[in-house]
Amino acid sequence: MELADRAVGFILSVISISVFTYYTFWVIILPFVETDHFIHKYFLPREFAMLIPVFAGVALLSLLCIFIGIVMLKSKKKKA
Amino acid sequence: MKHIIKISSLLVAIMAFWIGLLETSIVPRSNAWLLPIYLIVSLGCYGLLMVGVGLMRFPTCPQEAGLLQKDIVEAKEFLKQRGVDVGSD
Amino acid sequence: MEEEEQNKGKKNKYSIIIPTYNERLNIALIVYLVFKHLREVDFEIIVVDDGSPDGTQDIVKQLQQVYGEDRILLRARPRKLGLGTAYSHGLKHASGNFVVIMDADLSHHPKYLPSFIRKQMETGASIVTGTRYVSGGGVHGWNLMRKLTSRGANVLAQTLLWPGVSDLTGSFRLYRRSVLEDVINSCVSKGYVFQMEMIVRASRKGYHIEEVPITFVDRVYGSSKLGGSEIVEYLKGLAYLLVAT
Repeated sequence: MELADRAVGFILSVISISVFTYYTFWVIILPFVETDHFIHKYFLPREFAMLIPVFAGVALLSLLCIFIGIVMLKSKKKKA
Repeated sequence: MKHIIKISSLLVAIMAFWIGLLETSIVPRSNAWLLPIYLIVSLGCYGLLMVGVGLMRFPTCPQEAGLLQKDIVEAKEFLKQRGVDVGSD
Repeated sequence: MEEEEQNKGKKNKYSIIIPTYNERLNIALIVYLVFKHLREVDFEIIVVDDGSPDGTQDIVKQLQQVYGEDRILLRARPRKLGLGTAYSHGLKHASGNFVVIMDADLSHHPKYLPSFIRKQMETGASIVTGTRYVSGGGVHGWNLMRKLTSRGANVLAQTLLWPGVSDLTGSFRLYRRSVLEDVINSCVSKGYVFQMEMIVRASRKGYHIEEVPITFVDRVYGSSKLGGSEIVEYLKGLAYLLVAT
């Protein structure tokens, strides 16, 4: 139980570090590498560096709004 | 000073820096465009990392539960002797 | 600070305010443990009971017979009126120059009281707050979901509010009486957001805040809850504090 919780924490940390490293590489370093270099094969076109985070952000925000909305509706029903 | 003003001024400073970067084009424009998104992604990663690390190092104290049970038994014993009604819980 | 100079000759007195609602057994255990762990200190316990139907007040009266009516004060209110007002109600009847507030459900163990008092004496702080998230502290009885939300909530608050305190929602604290009086009047939140508002406002006012590690054993009798509505309340509180302080 205890160990499993720590493992989840570890996985979260690893995910966040790898996302950060990948994104940093993609956005900051890649533009300075020539376009015909093989490393470009491992990255999507640059437009996606913009699109993916924006979509993820919008999705997260709407999930949050839905969550808050549901909770508020529920509590209103309880009061009534 | 209200805290929101502190945060807003920080944001404005970053915006100003970004617009400056866009205008002077020291770095290619297509790069400078991504700066705010890069900052947001970094902030998100930082948050996730802090949650992960916090979870990994979450201090727990299973021994305390045992000690507390002992204390409870001891307290009940004492209080019962003094005529305090702790029997029914 | 002046007040402190004046008090140097006098002995400090600590008023421990414990709000209760249906804590019949727990309050008896707490009182016993407080008397066990605070032997060389002048203190009084103020129980603010919100008209519990389970006979909490009867137990307190029995405890008064054992320990004396001057050490345990029962200041009941007719019905459930909320945590924030419970503290200001207890504060009105407090005679000590320091006030300790703690929960009645045994998740806060009185054995940490001496370390609060020692820390205050060493540093001269206006507020000493118990923190669960440092080494020496800890929590028992939380599942993964509970840990995750508490960590997430903490990171969110630390990033947005910069309070300079590691455990905002903990409610085991020692206040200098004048400071508590000053802060409590400007607080409007309810529930455990109230605890957060108190410490954030105190920190904004520039009071000296120190921390001591405490352990938190989740309710032994009865159950604590954390659901969607608590999370939403927390987010609302965070937004309010962001704008108001």
